[in-house]
Amino acid sequence: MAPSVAHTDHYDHPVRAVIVPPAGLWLLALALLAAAFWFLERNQYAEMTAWIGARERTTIDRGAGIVAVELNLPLADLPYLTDQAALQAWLADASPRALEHVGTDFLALARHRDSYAKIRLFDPRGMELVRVNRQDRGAERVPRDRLQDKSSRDFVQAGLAQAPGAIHVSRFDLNVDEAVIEEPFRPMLRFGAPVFSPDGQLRGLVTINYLGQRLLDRLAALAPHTAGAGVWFLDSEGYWLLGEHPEDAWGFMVPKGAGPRFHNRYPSAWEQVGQEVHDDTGQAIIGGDLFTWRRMHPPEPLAGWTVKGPGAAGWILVSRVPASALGALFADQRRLLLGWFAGLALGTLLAALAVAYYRFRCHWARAGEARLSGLVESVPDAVVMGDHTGRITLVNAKAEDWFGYRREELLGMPSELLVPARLRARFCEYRDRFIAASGKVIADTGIEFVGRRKDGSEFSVELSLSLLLNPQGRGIAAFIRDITERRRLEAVRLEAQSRYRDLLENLPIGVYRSSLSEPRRFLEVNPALVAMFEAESAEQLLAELPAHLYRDESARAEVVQQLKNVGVIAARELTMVTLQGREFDAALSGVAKVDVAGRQYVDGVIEDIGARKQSEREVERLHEVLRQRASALEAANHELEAFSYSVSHDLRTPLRAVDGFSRILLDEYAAALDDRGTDYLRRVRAAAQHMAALIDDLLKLARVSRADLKPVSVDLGTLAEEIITGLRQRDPERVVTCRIQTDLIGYGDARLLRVVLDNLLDNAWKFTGHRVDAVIEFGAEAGSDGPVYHVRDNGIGFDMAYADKLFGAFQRLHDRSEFPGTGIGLATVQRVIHKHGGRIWVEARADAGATFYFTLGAREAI
Amino acid sequence: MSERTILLVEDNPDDAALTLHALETNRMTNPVVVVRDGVEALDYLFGTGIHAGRDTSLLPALVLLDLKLPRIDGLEVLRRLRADPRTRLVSVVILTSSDEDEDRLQSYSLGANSYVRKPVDFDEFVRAAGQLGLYWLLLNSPPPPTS
Repeated sequence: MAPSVAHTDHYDHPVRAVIVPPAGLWLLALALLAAAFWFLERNQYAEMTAWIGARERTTIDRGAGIVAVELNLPLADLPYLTDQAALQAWLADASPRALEHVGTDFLALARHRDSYAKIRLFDPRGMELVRVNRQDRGAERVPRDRLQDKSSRDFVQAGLAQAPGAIHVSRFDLNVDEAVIEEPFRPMLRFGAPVFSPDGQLRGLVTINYLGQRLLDRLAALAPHTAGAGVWFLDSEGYWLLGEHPEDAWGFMVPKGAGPRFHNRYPSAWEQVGQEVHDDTGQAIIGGDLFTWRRMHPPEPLAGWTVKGPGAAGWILVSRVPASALGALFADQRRLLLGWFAGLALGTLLAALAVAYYRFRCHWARAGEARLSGLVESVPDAVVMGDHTGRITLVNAKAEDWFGYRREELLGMPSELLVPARLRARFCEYRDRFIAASGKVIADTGIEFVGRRKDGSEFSVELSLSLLLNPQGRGIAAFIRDITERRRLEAVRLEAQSRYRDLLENLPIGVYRSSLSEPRRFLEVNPALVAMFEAESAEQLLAELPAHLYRDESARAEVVQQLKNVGVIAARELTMVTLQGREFDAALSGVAKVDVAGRQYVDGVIEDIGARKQSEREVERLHEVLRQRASALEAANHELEAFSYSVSHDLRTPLRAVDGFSRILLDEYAAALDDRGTDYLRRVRAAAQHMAALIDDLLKLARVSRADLKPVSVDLGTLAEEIITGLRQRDPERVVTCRIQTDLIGYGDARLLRVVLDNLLDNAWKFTGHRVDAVIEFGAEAGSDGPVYHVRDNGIGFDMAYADKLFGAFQRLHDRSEFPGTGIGLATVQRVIHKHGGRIWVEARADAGATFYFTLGAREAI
Repeated sequence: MSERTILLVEDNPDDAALTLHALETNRMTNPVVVVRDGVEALDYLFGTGIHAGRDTSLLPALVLLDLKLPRIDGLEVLRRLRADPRTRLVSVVILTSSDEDEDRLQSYSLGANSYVRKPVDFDEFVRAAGQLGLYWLLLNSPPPPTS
């Protein structure tokens, strides 16, 4: 498989991936092989055809040679016979003696020619003059009395008709005796040469009857040398002289020559075979059959002689290898080829299977390697594999990462490279022992060791070793886990544990763990709990049934019930009993949990709340006292309000009656009064009116005292302007210079601050009444705790010795007849300033004016 | 016009005498009916109790109402007056010694037409009575009769 094939294919279709390529190659090879064999077969066929053709040709040529040799003899003998001295003598003198000598010559020749049936001399009329017969015993001369008249014979007539130097060759036919075809057949060929007297007179005809059987036999003997049915011999007209079947021959001998002819049977072949005019060998596949042929003309006789007659047209030698015979011949060859083909196909198939098998193994090996590699890379540990000598053969990425080496730096290196130098001896000894303990120890896990990075730093590792049984031999695989973090966490955990333990031990609250299922018992307690229950030791407390520690069984049952049902109980207050029998108030908390074994238990705390209970009771008592006082105060306030209300209504009503009726008396009964009486009544009225003023001012003071502050930002400058405007309207005749600072924003109760400025400005207005150059100022300077306001006048002032009396109620520094007033105004002002968390003080000198200073408390203090 | 009645609700006979005197001084000739407490005031207005049979369609031109009264106090009288369709539009001036903010606020809330504090100084009282009579009996146009 090509390396470029995706890995998923590897895994998804391993069989296909493994099988298909070799199968494809095999099919391709098969196709190529088939093509090659097809080509080879064609080639073989052609070659074989050529070979067969050559053989056929050779056979035909041999046949031609046989024909030439056979026919050459009569064609050479005939001229010889005509040249013999006896014959020449006879031709010259026609003497009987000469004729006798001719016969002798003929006989001599006939003795040496067993293929000559007859040698004869005819006279020009066709009468036999000399006749030598070839008999089984040999040649014999036929006596004169048995000589016959053969003038009717075609060959005699045709021979006598020839010109000098011409040899008449008859048709190759069967001997006919007395007009009957002699049987057994005697194939015969007749050669005839006319003879002339020296003066050129036709004197006769010399003939040789040639026995054709020998020629035919020799041709038939060629049959084994042809792949066909044998060598056929045809005359120029296509009649068989020697054919595929004996009955085919001599077809022309039957009446009208209607016997079988070559071209009746092989018309298309005849078109080529019959056209051959030269003595050449032709060959062609016609109609699937292989035909080989050769036309044979009689051999050229000696110079000066020519061949004439039907025989001059010659004969045709033919062999036919039928298609079936060719096929049969080639069948073996083809079987051989098929055998080879099958063998090779099988061979390549086996090869393909072998390749597939090999690939399969490779694939699985690779897949195995890939899986192994993937596995090795995916494990959370560093993996280092080594051979039996401890040299590293494989590392994963984690190993590279943790040890700080690159993979190629590690491969082939001794594994002790990854161990600090001081531990190498120990490591090697252990490792070698592990490898050597063949089969006894397959794996060893959880070995804590120290790893060494490339930079020399060390880290804690947990080592697991496994024995590897590779085909290459014994090896070792180390799985290394960095436990630095685990070590650190363990240390942290231990530290935390000890911290929590310390905390528990030192906690002043009792901490416990107890079983929730019966019998309920403490499982763990801290010293505070031991002390709380006045036990001598933790063991003593653990041995005690918790039921004994509750004063009330019902409370205990309730606690258990809630823990079982709700799972949590928070600061349940109940009374518990120490082991010494002392009762104390306790608060119990707990959370129900389930341990790994499914057992219910409770973690919780118990607090001795005796002291807290005590202080709670004390606080409660104090609260009660406070409540009583507050309600008393409230009642007092109510009374005060009722009192004030009564004062404002009821105290004024009689005064009004006093004043009113005095006035009526003065108006309507003045005649009945003397001057003194009138004066007294006026005093009564003045006293009543002063008392009304006193009552009003007292009410104001009371109202200020009980008023709730509603602090807002107040523009004091504008407020002062308004008050001054009111004063100017009240006393329009007075001339007073007022200097009022603008943008004086104070923070306080608007109504009460008006009371303050009302009183202070009214006082200033009042005490500057005797001055024509009266000046009143209102302003502020920055002070250490906010602005310090002042109201300054250049009025009569006062002696600072009496300044402490100034802010008391009903305190007056001046004669009321000169400066009327109730003496409550400044007391009211001071009350308001104090309510605001501020201070008020005064600087004055007698006859030199007075300056009242005041501050308002910080905004948040109000 | 002169026959229009003034109802003075005042428990203190001194104050009642002084008020009547002040009205006289200011030459208010309207008949003044003086009742001594809230119950009588309501009886008069609704024609019940001792005033049963009175033609209640004759409403007083002005009610001068003190707040601090025996049995039913002035604020309650005012509330009932304003709750009844017959007396809902009667002019009521609170005439009292109280200078309490609370009293003023409640009076106006309940629909008092005016609030006058009785001064101790009788001269002032007479001036106030004169102004009251001038305003409420002469200047002020009363609401149309609700029949």
